[in-house]
Amino acid sequence: MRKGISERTKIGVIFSTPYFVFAIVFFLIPLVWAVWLSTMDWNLMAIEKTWVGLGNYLSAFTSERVQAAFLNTFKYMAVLIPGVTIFATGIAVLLHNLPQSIKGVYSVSFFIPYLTSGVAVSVVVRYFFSYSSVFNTFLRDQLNVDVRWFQDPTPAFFIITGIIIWKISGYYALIILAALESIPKEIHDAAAVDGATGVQGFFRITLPMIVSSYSTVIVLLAGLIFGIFSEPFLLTGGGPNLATTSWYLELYTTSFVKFDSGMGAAIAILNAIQIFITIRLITYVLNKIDYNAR
Amino acid sequence: MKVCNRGRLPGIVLLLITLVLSGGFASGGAEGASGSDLSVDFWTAPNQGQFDFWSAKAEAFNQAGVQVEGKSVYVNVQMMPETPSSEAGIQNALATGVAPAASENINRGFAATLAASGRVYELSDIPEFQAVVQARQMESILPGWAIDGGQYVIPLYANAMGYHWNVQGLKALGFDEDVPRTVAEIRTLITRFYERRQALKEQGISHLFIRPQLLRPEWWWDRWFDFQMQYLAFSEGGDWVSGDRITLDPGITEEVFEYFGMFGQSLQTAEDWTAFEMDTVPVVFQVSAPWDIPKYEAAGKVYGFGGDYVYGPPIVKQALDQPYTFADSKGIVFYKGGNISDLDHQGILAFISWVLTGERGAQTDIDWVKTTGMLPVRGDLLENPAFESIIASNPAYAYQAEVMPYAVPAMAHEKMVDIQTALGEKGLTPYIQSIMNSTSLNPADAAPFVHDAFEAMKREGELR
Repeated sequence: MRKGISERTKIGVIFSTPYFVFAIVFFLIPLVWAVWLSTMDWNLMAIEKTWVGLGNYLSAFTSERVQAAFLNTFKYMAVLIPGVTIFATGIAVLLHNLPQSIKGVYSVSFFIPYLTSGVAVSVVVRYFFSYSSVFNTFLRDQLNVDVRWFQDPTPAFFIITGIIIWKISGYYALIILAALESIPKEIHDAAAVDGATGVQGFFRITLPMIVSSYSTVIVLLAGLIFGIFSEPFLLTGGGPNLATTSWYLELYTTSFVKFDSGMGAAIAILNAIQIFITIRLITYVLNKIDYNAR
Repeated sequence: MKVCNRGRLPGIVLLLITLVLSGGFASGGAEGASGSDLSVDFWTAPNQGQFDFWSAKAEAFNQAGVQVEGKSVYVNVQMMPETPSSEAGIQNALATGVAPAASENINRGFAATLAASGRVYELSDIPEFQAVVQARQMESILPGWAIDGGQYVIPLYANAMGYHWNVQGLKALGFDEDVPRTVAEIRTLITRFYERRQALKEQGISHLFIRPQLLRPEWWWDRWFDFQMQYLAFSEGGDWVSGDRITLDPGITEEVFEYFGMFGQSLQTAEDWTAFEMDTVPVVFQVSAPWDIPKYEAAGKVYGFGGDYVYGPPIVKQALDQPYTFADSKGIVFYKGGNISDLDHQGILAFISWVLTGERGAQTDIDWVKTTGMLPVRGDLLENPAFESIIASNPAYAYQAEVMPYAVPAMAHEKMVDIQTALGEKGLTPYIQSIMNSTSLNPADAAPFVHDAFEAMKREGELR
């Protein structure tokens, strides 16, 4: 005979219902709707909608803008993941070795760039690197160096990545700092007694013990890289020659500037697929590294 | 004591959540409306000045007790959402069924998209529209606003774009009484600029022409104010696109590119938006923005050759050519949507007609200029005595009114953004990058850049 639902199960259902409703309303329904929209030639305004099947996806695959966004994500990762990790580690080690009395103040000061408006920073940077700025005039007149910072793909890309590294390193440094602080002092003392130098101690003791925090940092960073928007939007518009464009920038432009919302939805779905696969790959590799470190 | 039947609890919780999420507890109904009233929404541009202007007009209208089919009409004024853009805000409102009955701040290009989407009313046969056209004497202006032969927009304002000259700089370069008007005069200006560069630097003038937007192809709208303005002047009013055909003349397009190319090193590309408000203006000219007139007045700048700045038309090839130019212009459209009933439409038409016609109409336009610094689209600006005092208050307005008949609004094409982005991205910006170091009055050949731009415009705009 089938047993009735237990009280415990009922209470579980009651408490989990809000989350399920939330997930259905804010994740599942929009996702299904986005998939449906991606099969339409529709600007969200027209009374007539045209079903195009996979047409938007095929257009996206052949679009040089979408291809650039796809490849640029890996370019951004190639620079930002090592860049931020190294800077964040440097900041964390620096903070870790500061006297306790001033550690808090310095931690906050490195965190401030993260709170700074990306818009404000971009405006200042744009002005600083403009052709007629004092900096560029000095380079041309005094050093005979003429760099088109935002017209040449390489410097444009590195200015954007430089801003992002400056902005977020302090935030990730806090995660690494927390890991550093969690290592018992006795372990370092024991290593010192065994004759380990500072550098040996860092690479053979500290780093293996905090490697799992790097997994967190890298996965969070990868997620953030897929969401790059305001810096290229404000500084380069994704140019020159699409060298700095990103998924979100193309998504925004396609959906809300060109009003090609069906294509925008297809770009969003492709973006989600790339995020899913990339994050899975990264976590797989990181888990292997973490396992080997233990 | 038994408070609640446990078996029903999950259902009650679910119901409560559903009610909250669906807004079931939200208070409904528009403010000020009762059963016998008609409440309609009107959206303004996302700036305080225009919001205040329309709010005042709506308040006066609401107090007048105008009725439509026995119901008193109440107009609710809101700013349109600015994020991510006002056009996207309208897109979102139409998609979610919360669009207003009408809004201002719509350019001809976006109106073409709305018209093609079947979301705005065609106005030609509507009596209230005809009354507004008659009251503002806009008969000769309307053809420039037509979209596929129909009228979807009530033109509200038009800024005839041109150049804004620094009088001190002009005089230092030998233009004491008039602005340069032809390509030959611009060549003279550039030649003198390089000859007198050191002396100008000592006066605080470092560059001739400031136009950082030439290096920003993603700011597609700026092609209205540089490329299209000069193309219209060089071609005496030539079209950009007609139907699905690109109608730009490649030869004239090359001339426009090379006109900008002549400036070379004298072009200022730093993004300095306050150059003309400084005590010492560091450049000689920029593209004019008439909406800045109140700002210049606030900065103590005086219009005229005896003062600080003057306006001038776009540069023409020959002295006798007519300086056609781009009209930065926007107007009012009336939306169609499931949430907008025929009665709502009648109500908002009554409001717009009340505001823009009769004796009240001229006062509305005077208030508009005072608030925004932009001239209304009227065919009688220079003849109507009501505008005498405004025109006399600042000669910059007189200049604007004079050139307005030669000002052409944006193209009416659904792919306007793609087309204008392609021109900048594949043609104009790469060309300007190639001449930035030049001091030659005969800059690099623009033909390959124009060729690339045409290919890109055809591809992106699906044009022939």
